[in-house]
Amino acid sequence: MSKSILPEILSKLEPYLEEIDKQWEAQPEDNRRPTLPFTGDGKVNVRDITKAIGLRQSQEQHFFKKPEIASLVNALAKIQGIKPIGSRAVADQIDKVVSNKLSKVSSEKNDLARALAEKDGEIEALRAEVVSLKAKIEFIENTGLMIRE
Amino acid sequence: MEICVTKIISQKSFGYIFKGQILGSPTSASVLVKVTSQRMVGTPAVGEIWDVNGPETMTAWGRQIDALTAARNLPTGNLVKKFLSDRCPGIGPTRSQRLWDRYGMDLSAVLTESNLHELAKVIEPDRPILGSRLASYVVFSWKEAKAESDLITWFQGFGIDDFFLVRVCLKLFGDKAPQKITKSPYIFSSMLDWAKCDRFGLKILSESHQLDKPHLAPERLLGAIDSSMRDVLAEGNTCVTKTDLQKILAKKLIRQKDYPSDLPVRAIALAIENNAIIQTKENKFLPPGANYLENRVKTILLAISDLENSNYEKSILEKIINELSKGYNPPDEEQLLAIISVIKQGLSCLVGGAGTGKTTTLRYIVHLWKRLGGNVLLCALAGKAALRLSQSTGVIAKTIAMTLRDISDNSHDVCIDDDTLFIIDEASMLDLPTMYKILKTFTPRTKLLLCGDPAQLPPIGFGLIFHKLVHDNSITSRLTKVYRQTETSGIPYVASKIRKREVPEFIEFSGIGQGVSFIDSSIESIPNVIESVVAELGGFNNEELLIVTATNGGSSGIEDLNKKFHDIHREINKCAEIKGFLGQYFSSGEPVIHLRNDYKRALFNGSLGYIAEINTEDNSLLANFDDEMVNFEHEQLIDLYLAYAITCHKCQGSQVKRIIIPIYKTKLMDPSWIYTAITRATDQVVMIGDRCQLFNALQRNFSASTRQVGFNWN
Repeated sequence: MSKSILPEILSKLEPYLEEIDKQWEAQPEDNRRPTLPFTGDGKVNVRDITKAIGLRQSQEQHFFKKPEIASLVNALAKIQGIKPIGSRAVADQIDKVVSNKLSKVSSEKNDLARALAEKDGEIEALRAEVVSLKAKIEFIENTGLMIRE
Repeated sequence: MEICVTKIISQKSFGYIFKGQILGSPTSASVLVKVTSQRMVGTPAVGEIWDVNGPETMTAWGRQIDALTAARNLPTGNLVKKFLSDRCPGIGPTRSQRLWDRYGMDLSAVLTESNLHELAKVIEPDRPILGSRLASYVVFSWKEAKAESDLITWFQGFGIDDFFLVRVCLKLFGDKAPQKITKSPYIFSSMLDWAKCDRFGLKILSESHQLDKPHLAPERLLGAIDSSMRDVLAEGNTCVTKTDLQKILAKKLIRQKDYPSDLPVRAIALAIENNAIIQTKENKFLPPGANYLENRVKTILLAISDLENSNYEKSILEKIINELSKGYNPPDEEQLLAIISVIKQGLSCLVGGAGTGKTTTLRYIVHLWKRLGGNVLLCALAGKAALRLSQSTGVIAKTIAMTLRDISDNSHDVCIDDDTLFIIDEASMLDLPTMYKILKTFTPRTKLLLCGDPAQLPPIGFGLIFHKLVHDNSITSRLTKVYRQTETSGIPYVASKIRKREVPEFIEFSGIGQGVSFIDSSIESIPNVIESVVAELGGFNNEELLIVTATNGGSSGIEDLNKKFHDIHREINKCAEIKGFLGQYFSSGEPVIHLRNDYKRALFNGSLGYIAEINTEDNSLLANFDDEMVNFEHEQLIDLYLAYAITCHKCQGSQVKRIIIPIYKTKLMDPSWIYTAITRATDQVVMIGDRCQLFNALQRNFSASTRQVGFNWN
């Protein structure tokens, strides 16, 4: 989504949500009904909101993809006891981010494993060198002679 | 002969017995292989192919080979999988199968390439850290086995079958051994006999280095220097004059008439340039290793000698000594001075001949130091000497070898700190490497007391420390008053005459008694006279009698005397015998000596015992050493020798009731030899032979004074 769409949507959404909130507040505290549009299964009705603020149906998607928009609506939804905007798309987005990260981690892990293997090899080589050096020192201490390499 | 190992029958530190099938045999014949650790490279496991050489005999258990050499062949094909499963920690059958499934017959090549990352993924695909670690173990084990196999093959190409050398090379150079040796073909000069080394070196220089005149190569000259230094140290010296060095070098370098006569001079110049030898102001030469050891020892001893405990008031010390003397003889003036001096100083020497109360003085020193809040470590070189020290002081004494082992193992039995007084008895036997090992364990304020008699033989190993230190009167206390057997011809009297290189008076020999006798005899008759004297002294029962002789060979030497008395023993007792090694035969009831240190069994080089029983079926025996029964399987008999007669060096630190000493012409007898031999007896000494030779021996210098060392303590 280009940057220009978000401010346009927000400029329409924010006043709308403010009005919705006022309507909510105007009700008696112990007997309030949701003023935010919701579906039969208790979720936020994004279509009705889009219509209400004069957006095209094709612009509904931004409510699912953009956390800046979804979070505004969901803040009110939470207060009014309505299920938040369809998490699947957001979750998909999150999954994609996570999946990319896992890929990257896996690749880094591979690199690390390779580096680790090399280091282990170095350690074994150093161990062998230590054994050799200790043997040479022991030879000097026991015989008074050196080994000429 | 190639043998596939089918069963490990016996696995000990000194060797193996395994069963195997002879490869290539039409009947898949089975054979038993017995091999000592010194003659093998690697350790056998079921399924491995071993190359075994040695004489074959038929025994009750079938065909048997007493291997002269045995080495593992590098596994090939399917055997690689088994090798990895059995040899590599953490691999096991499952992971080795994974490797086999992945690489098949290429597995050995893959292991040699050492791609650790790829191997890790195959070994443990889901656990990269573990896989990586296991892969490095696999590659390391494979490289080790391959290096072993490659090196044996490489050496055999030069006609060298010395497996000790193979093991040393593997430890020192690892899998790069052939390359390192090719680059420096005289690398073994300090380890191997020169003739062998030179043959090998000349071959490499002309073949691999393609030199026309390999005998002139600097590598050869330097190798000869190293070999000469090895010879110098083998004589007990740590330095050599220029003239003597040139003589030694000439014998090594000028092997043919057309070789330049100035090779020794060239070699010395090259050695100085390359720091292969250290030149002193007195124009003597030292091997750099021995020079380093002497310098380190001197530095540490100087630091110890700077320590002072002047906090201790003499009056307080005397008061404690007085308390400690209740129930014992109080120390005389000489001994008292010695005790106080030792307590107040960091470094001390206590010198005293036989019967001067050295042991008594030590007892006081030990208990006084403990009373002052310190702790004591008591050591002697020989096991018997340590036992005597324990009995006389009431504090456990160990051999130096055992003490050093306990220190390196961080054993709770040993504490060495700033409050420790480290006491070494029979310190005249202490060579340079042992002194260095001891001093390395010291903390900044550990004190040292060396007790001994500089009139005794110098150490078997190289170097001379105690004999040099005792010339410093500021650290040395001398006990001169003789308490034991004050009458003339008693052992202490005779010993003191020998110290002055004077021929003493002797008493007439009349059987079991006290004192020192001399029986005149021609050299040919000495063995028969010894036989008569042994009979009059009641024989070799109960380890009360010992013959101390100077040589291995000759009619009065160790070999002939041991054989003579072995035959007499069998004749009298009608007993069976078993065959050991090096021509030794053993029967029940015979005296024996152990020839090396074996800490686990508390046996030492010079431990004396006797055979309790023999087993003719498996050629093993049970021996009694200091009331401990020790079993010797056949392979272990290599560590035993009959001990009717032993050398003076071997009996240092020991004591028996009676000693017989054959006296004949030999350069080995000098005042220190005779003095040491006599002082091994507590009751009686019988010398048999030529009095002129005794006189001649006493004209020679004490052998310690002829030893040339770089260590000085001015």
